[in-house]
Amino acid sequence: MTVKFNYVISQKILQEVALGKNTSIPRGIALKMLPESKVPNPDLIFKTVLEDETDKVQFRRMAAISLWKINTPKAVGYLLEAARKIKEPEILVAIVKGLGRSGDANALKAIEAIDTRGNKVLEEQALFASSLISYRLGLPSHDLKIPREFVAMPPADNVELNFISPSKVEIDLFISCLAIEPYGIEFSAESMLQYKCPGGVSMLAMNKELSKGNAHELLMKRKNLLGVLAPKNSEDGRYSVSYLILSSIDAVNSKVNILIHRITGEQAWAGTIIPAGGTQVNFTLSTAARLGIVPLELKGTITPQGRVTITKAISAGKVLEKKRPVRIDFHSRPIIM
Amino acid sequence: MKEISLGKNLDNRLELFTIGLDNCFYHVWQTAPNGSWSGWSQFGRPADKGKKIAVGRNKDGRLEIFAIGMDDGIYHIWQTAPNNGWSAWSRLGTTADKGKEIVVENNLDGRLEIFIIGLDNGIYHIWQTAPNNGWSTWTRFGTVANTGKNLAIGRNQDGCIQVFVVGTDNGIYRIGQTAPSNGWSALIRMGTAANTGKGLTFGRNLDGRSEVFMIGLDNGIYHAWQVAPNGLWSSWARLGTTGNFAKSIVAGQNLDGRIEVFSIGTDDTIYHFWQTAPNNGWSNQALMGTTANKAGRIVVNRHQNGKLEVCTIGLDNRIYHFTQTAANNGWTVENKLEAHYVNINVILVGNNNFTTTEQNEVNSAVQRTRELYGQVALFVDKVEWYGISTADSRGRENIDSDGEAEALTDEWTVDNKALDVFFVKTYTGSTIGLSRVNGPCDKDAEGMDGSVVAIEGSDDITGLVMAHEACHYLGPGHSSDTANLMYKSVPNSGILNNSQGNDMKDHCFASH
Repeated sequence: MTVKFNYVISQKILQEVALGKNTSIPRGIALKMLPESKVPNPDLIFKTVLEDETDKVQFRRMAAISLWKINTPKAVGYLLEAARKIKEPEILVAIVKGLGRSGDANALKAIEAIDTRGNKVLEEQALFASSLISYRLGLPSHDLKIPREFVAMPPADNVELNFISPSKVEIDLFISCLAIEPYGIEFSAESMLQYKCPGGVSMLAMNKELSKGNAHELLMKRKNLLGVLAPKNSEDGRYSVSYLILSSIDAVNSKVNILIHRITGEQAWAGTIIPAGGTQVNFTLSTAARLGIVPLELKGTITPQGRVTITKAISAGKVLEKKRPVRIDFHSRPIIM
Repeated sequence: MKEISLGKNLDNRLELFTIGLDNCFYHVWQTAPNGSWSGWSQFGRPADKGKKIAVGRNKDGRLEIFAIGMDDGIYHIWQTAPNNGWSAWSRLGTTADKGKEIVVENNLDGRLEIFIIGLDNGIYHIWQTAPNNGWSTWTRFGTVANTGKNLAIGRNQDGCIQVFVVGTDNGIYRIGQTAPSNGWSALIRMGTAANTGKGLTFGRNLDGRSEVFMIGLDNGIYHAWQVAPNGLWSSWARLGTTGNFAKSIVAGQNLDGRIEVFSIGTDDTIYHFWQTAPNNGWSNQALMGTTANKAGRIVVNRHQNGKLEVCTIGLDNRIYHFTQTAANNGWTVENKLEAHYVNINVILVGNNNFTTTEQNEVNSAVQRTRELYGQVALFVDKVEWYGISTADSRGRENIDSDGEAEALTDEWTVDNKALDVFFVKTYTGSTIGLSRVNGPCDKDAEGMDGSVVAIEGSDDITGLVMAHEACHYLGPGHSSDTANLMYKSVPNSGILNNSQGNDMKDHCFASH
């Protein structure tokens, strides 16, 4: 559900509400509306909110994430500035998430300079953000760990996944959705595969860098952000990235590790890419032993043009285990209307 | 449901009026005299709410409902034709007229008259100035010394209304019309200073003698009766044994004229006593149904065919009923009056960082969801509260993309058959909440297995978003009607239509 259309307020008032100078509508809603409004320079408003030490943390972190989504050089610049100035861990988490997803080597330096001690979430997010930049740029540092334990596929009731080439409409939709959720790479339309699983429809989209005919060389030469997995939500039919596909070189064993992580950093699936002679490289994927992940078994090939062909894809259709919230003794007093 | 009143239409179809857990009004009716019951409907709008309810019938047969609103004001709504449609709610009296208990009775000439205990404990009444028509202003009975905390009402054989009051001193008092449809006596104590109680109900014998039943301060059940029709009253006597206790009583009259008293025991079990012959002796206390049948509220009325019908609100807040198997005879087992319910797990992500204001916003959203689902008679029943600490949530209290919302529901669930609604502190971007459409019953299934809602600092918006997202999970997709709850953006008017309601009721999380 969105908040886009039904509030009819002037640009001036929207700007004032976003800055906390007017309470005509809830402020969080004004901040949501701002990027798609006609208010000039929304990035500057977000910068102001982000840097205002007297403002509420929730609005400041929303401003940080909004700057990531705007993703103009100016907006990224504001995030970089903020990373150097701001000390509050909750806001820094948002800043490093944004910088990690779309930043460059300067962003990596800025993240490395942040003192993350004493805040586990910040520490984890900063590490993952650094890794993400490192993989995207093919830098030698910040390698992600290879999962130590894998989960076997359940013996029965598995579901075969069907991969198809998406229609142009779906490709365009995917690209438009990812425009406001940037991960610092462009996607090759030819490489996209849509797949249907019990949970709905998802898109596998590969990094355009791999489509230049030298995918194998690139895989063997450096770390990469290979692509993304993006489910299409059934509520409004939009794609949003859930998983990032990364690769790193295992020089000792002459193979490439392939890692699939949630966008928030947690391991999900992992496997290897092995040259199979000629122009063929094969890959296999298994499931990391982690709560909330659906066991998958995936095998396929990657062409020199970076296209993926799936030869085997089965899913357990359900997660093996989830975490349980704790029952709390919250009052349910009646509300007097 | 938490309040209940049972009326009878002019065509003899029973109609049950209730106040739900959301404080909204609901009704369900027999589709034909003596017949089966309709589905539930919300009565009025989701914004119409109340604390107490009483049903009366105009001389022309139109039912009229009187309620104490959430602001303690007195409100009424009436059938626009006998057996048929309804007006909107309107206030009875001024904004200064407020009450906490309400009863209604017809004058002999058919005019309705309402009695309340005011917020000052005074006893007030208001009456129709002509049958089926306009109203007087509220008038106080007696003096400021005449105060009460509970009321029962009935009519003598001659048609004079009798009001029975539990005084603020727990004494039992009565006040009666001096002539049918006319002036009033002073308040008179019934019995002695030793006769004290907390609840009352009225019955009338076949020979016309009025009889009053009281729950004593010791929870025992007592009764007093007129020694002759319209005449003097007996002293109080115990009904049943010293082992019979009650916390709620109501009296009905069998087709043959025998009074039957139904009680909810202090153990929440449902009992009854009945006259063994018209105007005469009493049975021992007997169980209605089994000891497993418990209730918090009880009402009685009579079908066209003479069978008594007893409706209760169970301890699970659902409505149950017993029907006589034949007039003046035994009873069916307890049956549930069919309704559709959904249970919700409210999961606060980063609960240790939720402020009291934010918790109240969530609580308010739950209430709003109850009200809005009430439009299609889908009752939000059990709401269980859960928390994920900030340490465990690893930053998931702030959702920065839809993929993160999916991750949250992928990783966490409550192991029960209720819908998981995760409340997060922020959801950045134009999205304000996200849910799967027609979500699975198996919450371990692949994909989004719950709804995610952001706290937005607005009770109204957060309530709409919670109702919208949970509704998605139960089946309906977006609506193009800008007033509909399922319109793709907020604010909207929160309307749900029957087709959407049917989809929601068909979901495996909606139980009967």
